[in-house]
Amino acid sequence: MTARDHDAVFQALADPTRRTLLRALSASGPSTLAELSSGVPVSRQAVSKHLSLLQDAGLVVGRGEVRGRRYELTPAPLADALGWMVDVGAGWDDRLARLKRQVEGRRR
Amino acid sequence: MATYWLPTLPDGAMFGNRTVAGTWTENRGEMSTEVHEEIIEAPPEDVWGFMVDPAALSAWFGADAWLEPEPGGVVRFRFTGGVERRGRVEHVAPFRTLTWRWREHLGAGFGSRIGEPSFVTIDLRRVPGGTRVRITERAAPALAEAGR
Repeated sequence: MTARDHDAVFQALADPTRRTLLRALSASGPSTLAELSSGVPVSRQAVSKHLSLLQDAGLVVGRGEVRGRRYELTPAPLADALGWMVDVGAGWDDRLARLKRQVEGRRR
Repeated sequence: MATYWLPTLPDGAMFGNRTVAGTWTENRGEMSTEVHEEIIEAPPEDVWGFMVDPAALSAWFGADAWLEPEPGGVVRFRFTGGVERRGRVEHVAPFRTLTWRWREHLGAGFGSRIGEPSFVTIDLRRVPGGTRVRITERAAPALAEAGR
């Protein structure tokens, strides 16, 4: 997983509608465009665009013919991005920065 | 915080009276030494408490930490994701220096992995306005690991 792939994931997560769609797919499993559109206050066209961006980020895959196509969550890139976030903060510089904040914070 | 890549100099020559915070890496042959520094606005006595109290150590380390601050004492850090680093305390000078040797352990039994051992030294020095904290990590000779 490259930094560029993470860019796509974080960009995908930066929008509240897309986060809602991901949550819906996670809760309900594979869903059609119509089903997904009923749960968000935006047009079906807009949902279609969001799904396209989520697919580009590798978070969603569409299966079947265009009519009745079902969209499915593919969470692997999320796990990779989470791993990246955990790694940030595990280096000595991050530890030293936290130590400084905590020591100085206690004295105020 | 800046990162520096410095040429190799004789021991001690590069630090002098340096009191600015920073990070750099020295390369001596195959052995790599990482040096990280920060100035903390508190006396060394206060900072030392964050080294030897497991709860405080865990908080800034970002791992579930256990450290017995005496030579030969157990050092153990459990990170998220099942990685553990553990080893022994090598040297303690209260309010001044703490050195331990550790290595990474991932999993147990068949398929487990063990990382290369290294020494970590945390050095506290009183400077105007607070404490200079210098953390150095350098590769440890693997030979001496036998029996650990």
